[in-house]
Amino acid sequence: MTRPEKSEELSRFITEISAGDAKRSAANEEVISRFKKAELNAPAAVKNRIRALLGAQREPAPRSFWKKAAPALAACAAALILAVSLHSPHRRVAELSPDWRSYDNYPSYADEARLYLMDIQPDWRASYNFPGGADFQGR
Amino acid sequence: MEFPEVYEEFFARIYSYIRCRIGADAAAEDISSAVFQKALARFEQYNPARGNMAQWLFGIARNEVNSCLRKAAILKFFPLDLFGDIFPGESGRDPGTGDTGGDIAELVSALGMLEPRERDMITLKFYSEMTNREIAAVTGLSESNVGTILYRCMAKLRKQLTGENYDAP
Repeated sequence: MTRPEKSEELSRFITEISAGDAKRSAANEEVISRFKKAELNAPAAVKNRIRALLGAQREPAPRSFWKKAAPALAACAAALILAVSLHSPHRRVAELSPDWRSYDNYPSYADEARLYLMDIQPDWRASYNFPGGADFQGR
Repeated sequence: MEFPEVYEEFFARIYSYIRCRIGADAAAEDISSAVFQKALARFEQYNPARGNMAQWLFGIARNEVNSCLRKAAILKFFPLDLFGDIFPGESGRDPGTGDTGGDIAELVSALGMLEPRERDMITLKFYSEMTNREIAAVTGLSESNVGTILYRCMAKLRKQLTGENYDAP
């Protein structure tokens, strides 16, 4: 975008400081033209580099977005952690049989206890010393 | 006005202002970049009721340049020579300027002869095109003080750039 060679304000300024002197006015115009040349020679490469930098700056979401989204994101994260932990196989509750009073629903070491209370055979490796075996018949 | 339009309209003026105050192309690029990055980050906060876009942008640019000059002044106490390309007016030409010997280098050199405050005023006047009252508001000086400084600056620049001697009466 180009702007006028000399703005209204600069024209007024030059008129003011020239005080009607033509030579001084010409010298002032010369000074202004130097400033204008410097402006027109602003390197395009620099302009493009900075424009690219600004473009990259515009890409990420503004900080206010994260500020607004933080509670929702925290809630989602908490819900995810809770869901994962609840569905963990380690925390899964053993399923009860329809008859919750059934013996199967209670872990029991009754057979081992019974063996302990009994006189253990000298050959403790005998199959009947172990519960659950087909040979076990008690004493 | 959207930010890209503002950038297109003001880049050359802001860059030239900074370059004329600092005198080094590399530093001018860095500071210009910082100015527009700040402007972009705070663009939503710009309030036209508090001043026009030129006042706002040149206010940011002026603060950045002053901050850079303060850092350079501090570094002068520590001769690390990290910022040797700043203030070429004191030690010769700017090594980063491609147009050494040209009109722009001559202008930068002439501006280097001015006091820092004068350099600030005159570059603000030409590139921001603010009225003396607006410059006074930005710089914290009185309007008449701004007018006097600008008048003296122009006399010095005329002498430096055109060889004519029209000192203030």
